[in-house]
Amino acid sequence: MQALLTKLDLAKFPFTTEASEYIKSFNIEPVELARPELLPILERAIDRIKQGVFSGKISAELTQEDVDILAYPTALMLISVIGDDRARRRFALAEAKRAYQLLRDELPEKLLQVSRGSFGWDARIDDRDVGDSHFEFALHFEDYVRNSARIRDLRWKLVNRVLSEGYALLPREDFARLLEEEVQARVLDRTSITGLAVPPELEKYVDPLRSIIRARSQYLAADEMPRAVMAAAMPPCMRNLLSLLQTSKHISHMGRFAMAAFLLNIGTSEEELLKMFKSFTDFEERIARYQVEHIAGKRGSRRKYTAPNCNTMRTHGLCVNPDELCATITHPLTYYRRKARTLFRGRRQRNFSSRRRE
Amino acid sequence: MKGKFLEYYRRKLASLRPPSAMTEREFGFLLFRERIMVRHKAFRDFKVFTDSLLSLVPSDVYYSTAYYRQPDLDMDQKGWLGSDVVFDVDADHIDTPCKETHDMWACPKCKETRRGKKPTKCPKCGNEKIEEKAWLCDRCLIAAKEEVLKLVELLAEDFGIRSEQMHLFFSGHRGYHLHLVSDKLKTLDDVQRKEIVDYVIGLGLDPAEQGLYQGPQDLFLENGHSVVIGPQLTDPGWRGRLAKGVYRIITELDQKQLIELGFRRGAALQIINEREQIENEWSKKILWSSFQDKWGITDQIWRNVIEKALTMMALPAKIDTVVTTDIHRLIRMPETLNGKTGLKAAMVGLDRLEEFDPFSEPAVFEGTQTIRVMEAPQLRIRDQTFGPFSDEKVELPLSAAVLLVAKGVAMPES
Ligand code: SF4
Ligand SMILES: [Zn+2]
Ligand SMILES: [Zn+2]
Repeated sequence: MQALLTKLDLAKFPFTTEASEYIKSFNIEPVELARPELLPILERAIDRIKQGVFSGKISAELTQEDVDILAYPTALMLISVIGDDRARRRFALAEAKRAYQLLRDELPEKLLQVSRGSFGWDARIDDRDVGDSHFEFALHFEDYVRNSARIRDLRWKLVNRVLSEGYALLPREDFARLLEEEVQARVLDRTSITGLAVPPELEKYVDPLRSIIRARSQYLAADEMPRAVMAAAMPPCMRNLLSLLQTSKHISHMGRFAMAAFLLNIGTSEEELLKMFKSFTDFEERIARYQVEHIAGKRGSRRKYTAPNCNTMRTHGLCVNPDELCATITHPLTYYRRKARTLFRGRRQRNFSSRRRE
Repeated sequence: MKGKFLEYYRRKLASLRPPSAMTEREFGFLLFRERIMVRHKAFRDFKVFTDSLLSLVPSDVYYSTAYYRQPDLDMDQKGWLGSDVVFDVDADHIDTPCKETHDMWACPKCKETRRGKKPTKCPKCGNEKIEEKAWLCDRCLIAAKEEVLKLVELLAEDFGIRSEQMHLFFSGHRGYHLHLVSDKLKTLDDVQRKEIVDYVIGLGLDPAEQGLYQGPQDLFLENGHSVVIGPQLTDPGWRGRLAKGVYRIITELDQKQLIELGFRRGAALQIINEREQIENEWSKKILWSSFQDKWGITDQIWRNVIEKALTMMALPAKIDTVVTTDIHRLIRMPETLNGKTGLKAAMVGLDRLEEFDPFSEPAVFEGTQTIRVMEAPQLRIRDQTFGPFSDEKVELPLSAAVLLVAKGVAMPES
């Protein structure tokens, strides 16, 4: 039996195929959105983006069905033209979370309709008890892994599911959670063409939105520690290892491990790290790459390594010239974070004061 | 060898079949003399392929499990369209006891050669690059076959793969290749494929997620034991499989094996004595809690039992999972000869896997040949066994002779 989606459903689930058909029938051009009678749509779209980007949550509350439905593609269009990738991802996640919240509470027939009709899932309602677990859905394992492989938690591994003749048995919660993954992927896909021009009629509305989003992004980017701070915030032990590396002196295995793990831990990319290793030593690239990938958790045990603590560093004779800050910490990473924060705070304050003077 | 291969391909050309979607696959030929792989080959039609086969006469023929828009371009320009899911079940990844007696290794530096598993470095000169000389034997191949049967059953029951979607081949050496041909699975990426592999080898399995866990403490029980909730034999997927594993442990293991799992001597003996009754009861319903209480199963024993059940029911964790997850893999082309043995990578119908004999049909050469054998364990071709050999001149059926020469333990005598 096929459950038809009502107009209320379309407002709840504007990402569905049915909703986009409905939206098409309005035949609204972006330029027209500035017209007074369509302005509520534009405003609702802007609101949707603000909620998504700033609080990470888009309210599941509905106002006026047609406005809600049309606000969705409008929001996608706006987030595309704004072209801020960080905001775009956050918005997609928020849309997906909103969908999950609403889907969780729907009747199984409706979830099934959305999953099949809009995402082409091979799924059915199963209503089966296995032991003391109750499963409402059966989903083909291929659709299952396509969506679950992105979820980190172990219970989402296929091996932790009940598979029966090609279908994973799922409770409603989990079925809805996998749909969330689809929604997120769809929003990202529909907004992937960035840098489109804004129709001049809309500039008045888009520009303020863009500037607050940009300000937020800059603020967050700043929090991710500028590179310049990095060198100055290094603890003495790491500074020592780095200088050994730069002068091509011998470094013990433990020393190499500590340095590589530390640098990866503070956000150096594998490529950068490899470049450093390569340019200063006669490491064979293959071996260096293997070691780096191992420490980064891509090989072997697949576990990410944390740099050793001060005690271990001391045991291996790697704690060299500790300073006053060292006396207050037990881990080189703590040293780095503290120092970086002090240095950084200083810098930001200077920035603000200089701006004020302008 | 090359001459014999050529002769064979000439004779059997008509029986060679192009793989599905041949024009979308990349081919690779390993050359006899040069020992290099000619890759990135693509063929518009099968005639062109067989012409190349006859003119190059490679020792091994490979094709990609992947489909490409332009298979003959460089890897990053090929345009990946999808890829078959392939499992490689090889005796190399199964611990068989006979390996100690027939596998050999050689140190290329000091020429030390010994029997047994390859060490990490040469005990004589310390060299770390050691050549493995894996032998192929009946017992190893039977062990591989058992794993294949397990895999096929699991793929059918849990994954709903139909038998016509599973194409099984003998590798021509120490194992089997199972190809799954399915449009749905074709476009899975490496991470998604890994999920399938992990399922098959039971990696990351959490017993609680499969319905086996300690329930809340039962306040009315004097001994304070908690209740155990567990799956039943007929449950689908890993639940049933886990139950079957524990069932087999209790009904099949001998006393020594039970003690190894942590059971006390007395308990182990009692389990063995009461087997018939347990089998009877359990085939109806497994009473997990009374099982725990009766045999005094501690958390440690539970862990051991579950671990053991997993290894019995899953494929060995050492199967070459890379073959399955690598979406650009080249794999031996079915029905061609394996340069390491001269045996044919024969197609094996799933319905006759039980009786398939890797030393009969794949032994394709006719006639005899005199060779000088340096050192080799026993081998069998069809129903005749030969050897072991130690520095001797013998006349052998051609298939046996080719195998020994290909293995590098013999030289043709003219
Ligand atoms: S005390 Fe810790 S952070 Fe400071 S130098 Fe020694 S190891 Fe490094
Ligand atoms: Zn040696
Ligand atoms: Zn063997």
